Amino acid sequence: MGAKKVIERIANFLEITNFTINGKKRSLKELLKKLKHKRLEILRALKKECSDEEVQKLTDELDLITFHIKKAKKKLAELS
Amino acid sequence: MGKKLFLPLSMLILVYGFYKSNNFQEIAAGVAIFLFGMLLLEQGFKTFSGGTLDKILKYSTNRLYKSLAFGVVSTSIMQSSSLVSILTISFLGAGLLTLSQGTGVIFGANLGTTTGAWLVAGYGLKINIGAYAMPMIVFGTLFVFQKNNSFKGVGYILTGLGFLFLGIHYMKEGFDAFKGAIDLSSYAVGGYKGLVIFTIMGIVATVVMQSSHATLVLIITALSAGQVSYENALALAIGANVGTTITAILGAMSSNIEGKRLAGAHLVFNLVTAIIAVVFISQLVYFVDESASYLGIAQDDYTLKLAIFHTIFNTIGIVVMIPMINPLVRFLEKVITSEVEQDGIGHDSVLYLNDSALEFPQSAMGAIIREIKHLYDNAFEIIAHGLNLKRGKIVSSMELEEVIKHTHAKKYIDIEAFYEQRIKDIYSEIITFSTQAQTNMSPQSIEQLYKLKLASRDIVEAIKNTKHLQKNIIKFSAHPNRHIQAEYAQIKYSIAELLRNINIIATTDEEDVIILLLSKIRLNTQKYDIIANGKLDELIRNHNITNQMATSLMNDSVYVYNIRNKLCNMAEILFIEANSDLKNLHDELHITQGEIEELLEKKE
Repeated sequence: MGAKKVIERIANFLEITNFTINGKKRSLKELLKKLKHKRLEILRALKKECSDEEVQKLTDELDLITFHIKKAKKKLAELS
Repeated sequence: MGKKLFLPLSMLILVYGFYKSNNFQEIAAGVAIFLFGMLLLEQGFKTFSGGTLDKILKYSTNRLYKSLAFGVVSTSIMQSSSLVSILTISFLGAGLLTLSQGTGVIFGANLGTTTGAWLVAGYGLKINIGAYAMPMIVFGTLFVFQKNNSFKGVGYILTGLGFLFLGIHYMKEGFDAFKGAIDLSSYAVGGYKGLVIFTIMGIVATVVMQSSHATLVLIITALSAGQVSYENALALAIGANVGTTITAILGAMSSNIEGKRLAGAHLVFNLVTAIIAVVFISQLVYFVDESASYLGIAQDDYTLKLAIFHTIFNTIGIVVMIPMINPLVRFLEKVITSEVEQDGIGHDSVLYLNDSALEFPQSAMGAIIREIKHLYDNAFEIIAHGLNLKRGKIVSSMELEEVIKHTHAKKYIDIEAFYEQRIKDIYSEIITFSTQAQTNMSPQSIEQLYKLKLASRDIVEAIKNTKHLQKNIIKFSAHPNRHIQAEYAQIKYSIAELLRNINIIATTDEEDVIILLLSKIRLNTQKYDIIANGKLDELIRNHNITNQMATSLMNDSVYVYNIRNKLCNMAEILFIEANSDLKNLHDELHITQGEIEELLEKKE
């Protein structure tokens, strides 16, 4: 029996075959948490008085974060 | 001269010895077979480990006690401190280990090598190991001819062990038979004089055989046959320990400065240990006798007592030297320095690529990654200074609008000259080294290597694009037409922003920051494209710039686009691919061209 088969059988026995997917889900969730936190920070900053240039920069950043949050959520749904 | 004479002189002595005595021939053959066995054993562990050993080294040396333990365990298992030394020098050369970590491994290897004396004294001489040698060689050779690498590795290890056993057997037989003809023990020299003479003999024997293990086995077999006195055998063992550093020094010659420093640390350790052993020999002998009684070893079992002595004096060396590691490292860094060629620009050459780093796939890959980072570091300098920007300001928290106002020098640098001095050699060395390294690599590693080669090419192309861009930056940065001046200031801003973002990507551990910045670079590359965003049309339509200026701007926007794209590709390969978790996230979330266009359209 090849080494790969042995590893496969052990993984099946230990029920850790979804290890990679679970790992991906975990990292995506952690990333989502950080992105959401960043989004809140920017929204808070936007409420304060700032110049047009600053508003533009923050809005650009907010758009990019929102885009990634949407994408991460979509990927998470696909993995589930 | 000495090197040239060494081989013919050794051969002459051996031929004379063979002519005079058949037994000497048997002992010499035993040593030769033993050394050949060690070579096979090393080859076996290299093949069999398939990168495991280097992976373990990479992750088990972050603490001093771990480095020491790695040195002890790996040397005990493989019975070769040379292989562990080569591995350590290789990793050090590749910049994957610090000098303190490497020194810890080498100190541990010194203790690990003492297990060899225990095995030979405890089992090798008490059982007929010659009987085990033959089947091991036969089965081992059978495995060596298999296609599978693991079988091959096992084959080399079995054959190597078989030859080791056979070598010991011949040495033992030779000394036993020798005893009937000449009694070498009658040449024993007592007192401190004997101690010094036999220590020097031990050093010479180890330098000639390039293996302290072989010397020690020779001493033990001679001791068991009564051909050398116990006191003289102790001195020979001390000498063997010092002599083994020569192997490390020779190994370090092809390494970089760190490898040379490690060989220096090895030499200092063994010299200090030897001095302690010579000075306190009587106390050590007493301590060995007491330990032997405690362990139930007979007082006349000199071979095992020699093994105890070997272990004790190496342990003392470690205990004495551990608190000295950091001062020793500082001392070596001060004494052994690299020669830096100084000229107007400062020629730069490779830092991590050397023959020792080529020994193992993991160290070779690590060396290449570090060297490309070094290449990028030089490229950063050239691109920043090429646009007359200050590096320090770019990586600071200063607003980029301010950064572009600070000039690096009165005159713009000559990018071509800088390229010749600080990029060209390193780039070509990376390509040559990668080609050599891939012969021992797995298909996945070869694929990664291919990407890394692309990353270095991207760096070089970014510099070349900067060179083309520089001409008009010089021309228009101080131009009376404020519109064209503003456009070139925007170009400088865009490159400064790119360099700053890549610097953050290279230095942060935060995945969210890295992923957002990479997307931002991609998005801004498109956003700043003056042709795509319609800015050029607007400038022409409003007659803000001349046709000539428009052409220059159009050409230069291509260069900027290329620089941004090339460096972004490089950053993805160099800083993302190496980290598997980050790579997974980036694969899932990276922004595509379609998504960039969608985002930009939404803004408009």
